[in-house]
Amino acid sequence: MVNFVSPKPGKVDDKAKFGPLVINNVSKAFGCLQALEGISLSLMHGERRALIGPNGAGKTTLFHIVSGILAPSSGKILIFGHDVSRLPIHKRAALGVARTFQITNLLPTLSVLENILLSLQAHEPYRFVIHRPIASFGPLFLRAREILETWGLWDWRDTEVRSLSYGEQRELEIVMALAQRPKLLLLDEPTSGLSPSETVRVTKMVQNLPGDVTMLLIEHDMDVVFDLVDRISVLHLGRLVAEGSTEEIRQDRTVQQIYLGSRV
Amino acid sequence: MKPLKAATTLVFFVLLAILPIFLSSYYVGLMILMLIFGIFAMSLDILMGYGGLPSLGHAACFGVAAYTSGFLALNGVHNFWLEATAGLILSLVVGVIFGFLVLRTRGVYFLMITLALSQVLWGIAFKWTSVTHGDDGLSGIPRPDLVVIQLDLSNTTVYYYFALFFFIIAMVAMWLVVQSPFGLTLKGVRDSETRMRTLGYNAWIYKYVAFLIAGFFASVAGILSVYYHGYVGPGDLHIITSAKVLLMVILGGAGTLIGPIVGAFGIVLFENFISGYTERWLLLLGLIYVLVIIFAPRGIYPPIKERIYKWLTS
Amino acid sequence: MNFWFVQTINGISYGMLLFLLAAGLSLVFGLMNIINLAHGSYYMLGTYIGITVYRYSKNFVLAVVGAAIALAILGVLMQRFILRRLYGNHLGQVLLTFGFVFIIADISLLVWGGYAQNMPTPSLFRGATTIGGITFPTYRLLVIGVGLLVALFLWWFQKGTKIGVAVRAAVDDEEMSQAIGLNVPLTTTAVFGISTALAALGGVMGGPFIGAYPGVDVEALLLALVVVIIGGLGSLRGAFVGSILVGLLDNFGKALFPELSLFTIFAPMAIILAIRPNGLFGRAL
Repeated sequence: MVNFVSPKPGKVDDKAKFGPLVINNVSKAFGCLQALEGISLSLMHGERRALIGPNGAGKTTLFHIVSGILAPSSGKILIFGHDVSRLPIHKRAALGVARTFQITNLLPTLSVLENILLSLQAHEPYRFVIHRPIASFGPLFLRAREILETWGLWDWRDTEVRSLSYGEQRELEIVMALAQRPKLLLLDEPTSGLSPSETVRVTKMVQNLPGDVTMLLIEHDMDVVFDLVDRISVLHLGRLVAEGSTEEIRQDRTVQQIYLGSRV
Repeated sequence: MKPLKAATTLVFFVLLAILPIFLSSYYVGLMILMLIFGIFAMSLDILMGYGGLPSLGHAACFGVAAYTSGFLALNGVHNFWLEATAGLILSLVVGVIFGFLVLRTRGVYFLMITLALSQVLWGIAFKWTSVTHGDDGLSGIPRPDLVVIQLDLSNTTVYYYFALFFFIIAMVAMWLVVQSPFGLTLKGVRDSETRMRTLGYNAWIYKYVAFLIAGFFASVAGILSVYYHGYVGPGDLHIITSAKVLLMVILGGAGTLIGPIVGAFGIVLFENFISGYTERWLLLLGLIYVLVIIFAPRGIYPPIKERIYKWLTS
Repeated sequence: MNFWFVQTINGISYGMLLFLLAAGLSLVFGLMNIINLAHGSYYMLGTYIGITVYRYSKNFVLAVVGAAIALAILGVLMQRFILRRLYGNHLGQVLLTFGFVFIIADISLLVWGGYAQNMPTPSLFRGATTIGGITFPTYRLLVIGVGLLVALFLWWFQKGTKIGVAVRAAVDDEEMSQAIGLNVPLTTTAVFGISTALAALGGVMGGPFIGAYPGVDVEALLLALVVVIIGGLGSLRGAFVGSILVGLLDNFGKALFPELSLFTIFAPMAIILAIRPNGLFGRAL
């Protein structure tokens, strides 16, 4: 794998343009608040990258820009070679992007099964069918059952999502994303608020992802980060201040100063 | 479909089919009204309960369809099918245009805008006396001429079964819509539009189509209404009508399809009962509104359903 | 030529009445995050009460004061005992206040009957004034004057005074505001009372040329909504601009195309909805 080391944000390598994700000199301002400035970042196929930084560094904002919820003030986003700057959210998903949200964003009044069905159905042509009950779509239900059983959620299938515990909801949030077999997965603090045992479960979930899935992970729990990724990008006050392998970032003085404190 | 639900629905249809035999034509007329508002309320439920788009202007499609069919029937067209189709089409045009305007807004803005748009239609009906006869409305509209089928629809009982036919079709059709992949997606959009978009759904299309479907079935109700009463007036486009059907949905329980039918039947019966004792039905309607919002915002059907279910499975 | 000038003054004066309504609606939403659809009903009650007070006292100012106080009390009662339960629940507020529209409408019918009623123009402002060779109805000029005064007062109130800032604080963070000694319930109730009193003022001012009749509540509500849709909910500036615009459009519409006058309102509303759904100066909901 090509070692793409650039501690300072610079221009994007031509070869990387058709990679899963290219963030090219993206900035975002909210009025006079500069949330992001000159972010350039590029992921290779199958890469596992973490995006870390103190609260307010702009990590979730960056996710929103990649997935299409926010538009950048300047700069471009390329997903699998497509310039998605003008592409609406749902069309980016069609390119193979899935994400989880920092604040759990499921469909609260629907059951666990219905949430998964919607996740699976999203790229199917029959999602517009209006005259046949959904219960008649056998293969869809089989796939849903498979997924729920794999992740141990089958017994909860008829429970309304808002009745689930926080931990169960966070897990479902990830399963929803994985069910779509995404090629680019964006995880926003998947383990936040989880108990240690729940954190282990989630870490295992992510570790067992197929090798060709590219992942960008926002996390505060550094143990999880070191378990899951090969490379880390560090965001601070809206700028990319460091990027490198997990070892390099561990040793980096600046990063230690701004984020990890004196502990590593 | 769960066997219990299927059985109850069947019993319901059978009851609707045989009750008129035992009732005087006054009460059969009342049942016709219940069916009309049942369709009207269900149509709003699709928009509001399943789509999460509460509208205070649902009378728009109801009234436009009624006025169109009525106008044609009074002006030389003696063919129910043509009149009704024209009513449906014109109402669809209104839905297509209004949909574009209102779906860029959400929540309270949506409510206010639907109110305003439909009240503008009222104003047009009220003032355009050359076409709509203003406050007098269109009256003397004869019962439908079905052309190819010989049915004496001026007989109340016969008209009842005519209306029942469309009620059952409408109810089954709307049930299929909410049970379909489209329906599930619509519920998802209601719960969290960002989540659905992120999953890959074009949320706007779903809301727009739901808006059109709701308008379509409201038109069906409007057409049945104009032929039943032989009359249509600006009141059929007025906010009071929109508010009434909204109350039926909330009272019965939004998002259940059955609830609104319960609400519709209940309010129609209540109005009929009350108007025998007092002229103050508007006041009472307002009071019911206030009481329902404060004490039973989820409606009366869901808790009743839960109770019955518990009792049956204990 | 005179026709156009007079119609313009009529339109602007009508717009001022709308402003009193729309400002109250927007004020309560912008500062208190409450939507109250009974505003048209407050307007109507204002006119009815004004007419009744005038009938017994023959005094226009007393009519204004009487109506304003009565409606302020009603508004305070409604907010205190009913709307407080629905804080944050916009849909519930809309529906609940709508129930009150029905209740007030029916009670008005009961008390004042179904015939249209008018208030005679106060003697001081009867007749016409000539400015620059053009004759205007004097009363209309008074209405415009009152409207402008209220607009200035509200602007100062919202931006400048401690009370204005206090209300905004109370809405933003109730706990904190109470912690620093702000009497939140009092401030919010006061604002609500002011907004209903404004609607009543509009009602009384409209007494001489619009009058009161069953249905004026919904008409007033509709126009106030159109103003707020065009101008933007929560914006005083939007309410002012929108009111003048709608007042002029409605007036010219009725004068030029009596049968289709509502189209002249519909068109700009539709345009705004298509281009700027939040209104000209509105904030996103």
